Amino acid sequence: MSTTETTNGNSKALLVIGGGMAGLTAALDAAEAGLDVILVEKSPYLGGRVAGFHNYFPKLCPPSCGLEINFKRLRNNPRITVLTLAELEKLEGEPGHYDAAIKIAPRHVSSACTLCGDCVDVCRSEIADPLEFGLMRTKAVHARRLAAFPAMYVVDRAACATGCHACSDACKYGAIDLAQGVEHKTFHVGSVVVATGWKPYDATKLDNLGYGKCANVVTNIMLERLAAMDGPTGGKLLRPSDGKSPESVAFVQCAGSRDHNHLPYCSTVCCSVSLKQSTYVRKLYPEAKITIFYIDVRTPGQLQEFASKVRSDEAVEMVKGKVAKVEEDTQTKDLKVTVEDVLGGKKMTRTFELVVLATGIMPQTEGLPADCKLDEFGFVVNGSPGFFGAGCVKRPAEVSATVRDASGAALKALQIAMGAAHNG
Amino acid sequence: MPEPILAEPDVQFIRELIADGGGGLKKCFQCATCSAVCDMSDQAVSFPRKQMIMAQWGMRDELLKDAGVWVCHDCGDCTAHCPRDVNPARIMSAIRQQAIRNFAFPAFMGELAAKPATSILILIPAALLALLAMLPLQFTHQWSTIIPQPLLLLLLVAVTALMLCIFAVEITRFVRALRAGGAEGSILSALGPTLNEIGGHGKAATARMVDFVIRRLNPKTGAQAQYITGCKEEKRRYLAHMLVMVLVLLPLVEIPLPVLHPLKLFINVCGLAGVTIFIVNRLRPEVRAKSTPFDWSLLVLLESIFLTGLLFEVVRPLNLEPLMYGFYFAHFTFIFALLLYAPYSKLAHALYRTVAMAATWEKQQRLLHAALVPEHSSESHTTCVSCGTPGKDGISYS
Amino acid sequence: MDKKLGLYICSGCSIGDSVDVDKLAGVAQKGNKLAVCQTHPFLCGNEGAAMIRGDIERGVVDAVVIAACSPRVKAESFSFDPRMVLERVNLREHVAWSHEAKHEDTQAMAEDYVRMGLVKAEKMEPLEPLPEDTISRTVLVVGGGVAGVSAALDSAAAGYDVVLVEKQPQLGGFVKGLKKVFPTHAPYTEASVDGLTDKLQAVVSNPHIRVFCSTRIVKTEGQPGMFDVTIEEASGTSVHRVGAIVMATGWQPYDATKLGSLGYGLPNVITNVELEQMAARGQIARPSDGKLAKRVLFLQCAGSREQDHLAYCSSVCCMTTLKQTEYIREQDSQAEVFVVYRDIVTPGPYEKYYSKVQDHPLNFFMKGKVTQVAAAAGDRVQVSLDSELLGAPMQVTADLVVLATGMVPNSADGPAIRALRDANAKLARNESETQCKDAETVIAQMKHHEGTEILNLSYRQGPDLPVLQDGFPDSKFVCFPYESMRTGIYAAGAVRAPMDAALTEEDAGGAVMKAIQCIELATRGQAVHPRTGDLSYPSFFLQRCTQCKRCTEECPFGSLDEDEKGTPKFNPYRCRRCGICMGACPERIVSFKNYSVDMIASMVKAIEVPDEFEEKPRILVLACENDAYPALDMAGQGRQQYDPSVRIIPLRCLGSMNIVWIADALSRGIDGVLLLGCKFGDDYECHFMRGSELANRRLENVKETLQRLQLESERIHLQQLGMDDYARLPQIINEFAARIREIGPNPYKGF
Repeated sequence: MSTTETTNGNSKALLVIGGGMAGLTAALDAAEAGLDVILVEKSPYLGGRVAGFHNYFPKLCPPSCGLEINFKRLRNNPRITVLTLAELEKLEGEPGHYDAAIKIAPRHVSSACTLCGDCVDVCRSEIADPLEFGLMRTKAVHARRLAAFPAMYVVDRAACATGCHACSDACKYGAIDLAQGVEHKTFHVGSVVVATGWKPYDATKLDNLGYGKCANVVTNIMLERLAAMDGPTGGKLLRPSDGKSPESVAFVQCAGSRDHNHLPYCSTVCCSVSLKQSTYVRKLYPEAKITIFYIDVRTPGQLQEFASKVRSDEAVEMVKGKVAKVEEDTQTKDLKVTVEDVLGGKKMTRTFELVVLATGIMPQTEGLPADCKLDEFGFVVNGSPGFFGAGCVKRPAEVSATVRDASGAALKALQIAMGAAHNG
Repeated sequence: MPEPILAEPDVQFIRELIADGGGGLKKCFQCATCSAVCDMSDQAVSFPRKQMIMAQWGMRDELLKDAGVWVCHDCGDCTAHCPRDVNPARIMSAIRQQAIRNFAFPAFMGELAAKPATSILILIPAALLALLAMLPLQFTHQWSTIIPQPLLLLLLVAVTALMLCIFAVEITRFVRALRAGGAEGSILSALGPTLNEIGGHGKAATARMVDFVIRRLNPKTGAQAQYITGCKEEKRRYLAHMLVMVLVLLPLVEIPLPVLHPLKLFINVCGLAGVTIFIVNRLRPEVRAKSTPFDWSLLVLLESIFLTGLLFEVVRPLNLEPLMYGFYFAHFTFIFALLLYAPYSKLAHALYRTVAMAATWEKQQRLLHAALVPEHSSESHTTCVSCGTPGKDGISYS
Repeated sequence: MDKKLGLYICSGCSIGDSVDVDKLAGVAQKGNKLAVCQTHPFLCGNEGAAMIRGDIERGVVDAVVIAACSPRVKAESFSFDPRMVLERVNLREHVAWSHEAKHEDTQAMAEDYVRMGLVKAEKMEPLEPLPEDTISRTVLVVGGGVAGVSAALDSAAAGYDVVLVEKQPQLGGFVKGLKKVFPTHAPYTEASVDGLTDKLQAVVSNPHIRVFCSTRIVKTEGQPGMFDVTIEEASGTSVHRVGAIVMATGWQPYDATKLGSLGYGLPNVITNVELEQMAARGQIARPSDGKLAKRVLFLQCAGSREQDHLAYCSSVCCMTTLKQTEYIREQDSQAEVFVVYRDIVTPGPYEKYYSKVQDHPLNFFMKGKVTQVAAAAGDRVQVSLDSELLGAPMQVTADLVVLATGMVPNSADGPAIRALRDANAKLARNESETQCKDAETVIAQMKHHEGTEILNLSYRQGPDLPVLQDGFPDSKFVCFPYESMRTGIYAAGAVRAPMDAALTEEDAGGAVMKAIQCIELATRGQAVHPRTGDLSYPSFFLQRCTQCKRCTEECPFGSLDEDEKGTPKFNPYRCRRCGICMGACPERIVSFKNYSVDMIASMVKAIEVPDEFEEKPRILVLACENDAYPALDMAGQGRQQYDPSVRIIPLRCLGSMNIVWIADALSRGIDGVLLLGCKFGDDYECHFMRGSELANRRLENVKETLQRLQLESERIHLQQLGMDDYARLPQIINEFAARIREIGPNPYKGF
């Protein structure tokens, strides 16, 4: 079953693609300045990548705090239409007058949902949690554990046992419709902000760093989940192979970045991320030793002071030298890391209990209109007026830079709207 | 506190390295991936990362003293993993070429060997032989109608002697440099175990080669039979090296054995196969682009020797006199050329590398036997990491 | 007139299974006269919501109390006229989901919460909009550099008039003086001539932008939407009414005279700025003899990343040096260029420019630490360094050495300037000896701030934006990088953080967006971040004001000015509605229509305190509604159980906590008070900057009160937490409850 509905937006309206930090900010800033906004998010929940992080650098504060405020702004703002599980199908027209065709996949849960959880108790099908990189399982009917917005469940029909409708039976509020079908909507908008964000570089392509082959080689975003209170280890940061608390952790910088065989550009944030993550380990395990293997430590601006603070901890060791080999000890599942300590001038092989690959940032540009300009690295270039990139789809950047960029994009949209207003 | 290095880059040197295929040199940002992936690099002899920065800075003299440049087997692992497309392997061999030229005696020969003009060297032996051929002497043996055999042998011995003398001078210069570069202990006494090790590699390799051939011929395993070697990136070159090494036996059998003796044939076939593989490998566009006259001349020379020799053996039974004499003449011309040219050619690296390895032996041993904290010690093996040859006489490889 | 109060209790989401809803309704009706008291199994459903809406429309009720789930959810179901009195009692997350079902303690808790909600609603009044003010839609841009020029054009393009003020005789700022700007766009390989010229043209020709050069701001009065800015030109002064301000005053190079250790002062040691000027003029030559430099050495991080200079990384010096090596190249293809660095910082696509510049036979890069810079023969400079890549000391003798000096923000620290002024005033008034002594020390410390004023705000709390770390008037918030402590004034560009020209242009756009937002919200009489859209605002009952100045001192946003007597003058458009003034006021004269000292006090009084023989302690929890309250919700969402002796009251900010509540609570026999607020200190997480810190300071006074009452100070505890501490929260509460049980009942019970 598939319904199509055409909403006559207006030439002042703004379409924001992506409901992460950049998309949220752009949508809210534009709406609070008086624009109507259609916010389109591919996944079932807003918040994007940061919703999966444990802490931000340099303040080591939880992302949920900023999201809470933004969601509050969202709740109180009738100008914003939020569409989750939605994707842009087609974009036609010109600056000031676009027609955006949106495809909305069925959530099977309506706004009547109260998050009471009765459906979860009766659900019989389990899947690997899409938010947990296979570190954790969840039910076919599930919700983001922390700061879920919209505050309702989602049913993964693909995972349902055939013919099972236990959840819809259990729901006292008739919120579950297992027969719900795809929806198509068309909106008339004046401008588009592309805030589709980023995806981590595929670490399995780094053949000599052991990811995928060794259980205790994880990526930096997996570590965020391992450290998160709502994550697979309840914030205890235990290593995958045996759930042991790691006593020695190696961070491998530029895992894919600054490498013509992988990503030729620098992903900008990985140095700060690894420094931040070493504080996770140190806070939990005062005995643990950290080693960060780097080419250059790139902590521009005041991040430098954050770096100095972390580096002043004698348990955090910085070694200049790129790791080129990671091998697993088949008994202990510990990892042998081969590297040349450049400043020490000697090659060495050292053993760690956990290895974290600082994988880089790749622009998330699938499903964007074909005429959307990309640079040689695949990042969105601001070419046509009325069509603006914001955040990591435009340039690898930390959260605050992304937010700044998103506010700027919202302004550009506002300018288009004013233009449209002037030209009637 | 050591004497500070005075930064006075040898710009000419840098330009030559770049010209000799080291185009990426300047892009190296010292991440040390190369040293980390290199199976030959260790605490005793660490490369190629440090050699790259020295080369970037045109530190010619330091590099000529550096043994690491020679321990490198040019396997190409570093190049494959280099994030900046620097091609350290190529730069290392460019440095070696510079060294051979630098230690050449007489010096102008070194310069000459680097240029295409090197081919005129052929004229020297050609002239010599021609001279011999013109001597109005009569011998019974039919070959002697073209070149008198005894004189030929005499000349062979003389030229070989000359070659050895030249090598002696060059190696003396090289050793002096190595010493200045901090080589420890007696190089002479280290030569034994070094050769033993190299021989070990040879034997082990031959064994594996035979095993490989057997598996290949076996219909069951044939399909998936693969030649195992430590050099991940440059299997062809590895095989070729092993084949050519067989030629070391040639002088022993050349004279005593009859032409069609199976052993003699085997040796020649190995050599020919090896050189041919080298050439085919170099013809690959990406390699050819970075190849210099220095790379080519030796290969062409060797191939010519084999071909003329082969052709001679082919036409001899047919008694096609002019052809026969022609090939015979050419064959020996090339052999003499090789002997005269060896000290300035790539061939010289066989000697240089052996000496360099011997020069690092002592330090090697000291480091390996020094009780280091295992956590921080570099991996040490009782077998060679590149080909699995078991260590001998308590030697262990790194 | 009396309000018609309606109570609607939801029994859904297992509230009904946990507590006796009808008993609840009974209790509620006993204590209060209610126009409506309804229970419903699914209140947020269409039917339930329709019932409430119906009662409102029919005029049966004009004030609504909804006892159901957390106010953080189902806003869409329970959204009525935003001015109407609406109180939500959290029976789901805070009662049913986090306490034993059908237990008498759980029931008691629910009853207390309902009573508390009702009494608050009783005291609440419908919101009144701010008096109609005419809000100026003009943006003031301070600074005519790349940031200011972009900001001006961006504002104008969005339909807002602009006043652009520049202290130099012409626009263009630093970028105008550059020969080229390093590549900031694809393909990232070629430095380009600056793109500013066209922009300058656009500014001059734009009818919506009024440019004032050679101009300074002598006074900025008023508040967002109605700032009156007095500017002074050669031709005289003029006053301009603007709605918001973008401060784009840019940066200045770090003072190289402090870099003697790096050889500055030697004939042929110059800074990257001096090199740039030379290049822009034409030839790069040795100052000593005007000869072309055959060998140039760049020293990176000259004064940056150093504790005793600039602790931060100036972000642009690496790219600048790469660009400047190309100047040298263009001039002399055979020149040798050395770069000594600590880390090459070329983030993102800039990496490509790094490898492009590296790739020249005569460019030499070395990671190392400089140990000495000395004069050498022929006016050359000898640089000694530890070449870390070679692991050996190294010496380079160069014709010219360039120090890559960093960026210092052109900011002014308002509070510091104010402290300096106050101190001077004290001296002038010639107050007591000790007073004058203190004043002198302050002056000694603050002297360097003299004459640095930029905005000259007529604020009680100082004439400029407060600066944070390293003199940047930046925001502490990762998620809200423009939030300054002065509403309607936003910093942009290099004054806010070190950044290059391209980022500065983007940054200016963001700051303008915030300025516009502020103007639009002011026009609607709504608050800006973080209580965006809030219609409530504090009112001051000045008849009872004692001029103690606590409110004017403590407001983090400088919303309150003082007249000469010290009576606070409230500027509603500067206000962020946090209620810190309300918490500060000992006379309790500050109140919102929907939030006041009296309301919370009455809620506290509405808590039924069992007598000491029941051995059921009561603990008052005052929870910051931005972080602590959501954390409590999440604990409930996770069905985490905690001690039922707590009664939670959400506060707009812990800073709005008035100590009288604590006094009331203890005197009524409540056994302990737990304050849940955001982390404070250097990396504060309080969205009102100082709220939790101020609350903590007030507790000191409370402790004295306790001693007078002979009560243990452990009965009061302030817990700093972040939202991700929700998992620890039940444990925190239980431990506090256990401690209170140990201490024993409050002796004032039943008095």
